[in-house]
Amino acid sequence: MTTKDFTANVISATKVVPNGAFENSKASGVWDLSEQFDLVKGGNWPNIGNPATRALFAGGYGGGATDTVDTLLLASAGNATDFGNLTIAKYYLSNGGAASSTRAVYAGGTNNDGDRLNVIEYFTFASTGNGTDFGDMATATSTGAGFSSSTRGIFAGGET
Amino acid sequence: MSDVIEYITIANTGNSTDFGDLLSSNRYISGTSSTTRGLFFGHGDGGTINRIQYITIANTGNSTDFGDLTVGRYYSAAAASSTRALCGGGRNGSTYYNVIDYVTIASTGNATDFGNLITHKMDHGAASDKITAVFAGGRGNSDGSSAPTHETIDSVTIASTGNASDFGDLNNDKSYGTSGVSNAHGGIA
Repeated sequence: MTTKDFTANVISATKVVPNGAFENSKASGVWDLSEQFDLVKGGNWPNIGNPATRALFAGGYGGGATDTVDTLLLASAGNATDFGNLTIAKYYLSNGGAASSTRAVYAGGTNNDGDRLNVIEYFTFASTGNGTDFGDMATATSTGAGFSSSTRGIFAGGET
Repeated sequence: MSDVIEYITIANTGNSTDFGDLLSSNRYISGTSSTTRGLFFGHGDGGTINRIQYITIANTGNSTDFGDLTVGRYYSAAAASSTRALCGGGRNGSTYYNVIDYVTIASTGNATDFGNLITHKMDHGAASDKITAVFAGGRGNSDGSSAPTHETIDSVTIASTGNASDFGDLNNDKSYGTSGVSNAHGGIA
């Protein structure tokens, strides 16, 4: 995706440059009507782009439970990079998390002592960082399944 | 083991609430969804391990039988576009599978062969958007051993059928038991 520049001269004559790839960028500034007309006619009006799809892979086991969360962009093959950390190291979280377009939620899992967990925690896709407590499952569970609509997350089954 | 289905409202922090029950107490299941329907694939508790069951996410209630996987297995991973759900890999006893099955989410029926993962594996995670599904990590081998572990990420194009191709590797040492999600799964974006 090509980064685009947009000019603005109502509040400031300073050229405004989006602070990232177009699909994820924010650009401050206000266009006057003639500028808007020119930009639309030129095919450069900044329509809202679809955000890049970001995937997270949380926790797991590699010589012990891990608290790491990896991320990747599905549009581009390549290695995952570090996103942040779970509140504690665990594996066998719900197989699949729940997510809206902005928030990822994970539930359950097993810690390094083999204890099953009822912890639900969340991450904000737009910001790398660590997990935040969301609430609790009714029962500590691991090896269950998870998925969601854009608003409702589901967690089911597993070992208790 | 649990047959409990719980739900949360993603935008609001808080404890989970009872949604309904699975058809039986099941562990080692995988799940994925469209914006309206959620599917559960397989389980590790004998008898009906090829079972696919579904719920309507907006309506609390028990799960319903959807159809059967092409081969019964557990510890698989699943991902979906808005229309098609994939279930890849998994295990049944000492057999580790590289099979990817697919179903059309809006209908019910048995799964159809999609292609193969690069390696036979279980205990992996999956994530997707409307175009691409990835299956990451895992462990196991076609010879039936639980080793080696895999930090590889396999990818497929959901709308077509075919074998997976190499996407890259996970970043950290989390070979198995990881859980995937994305901000555009199942047609939410």
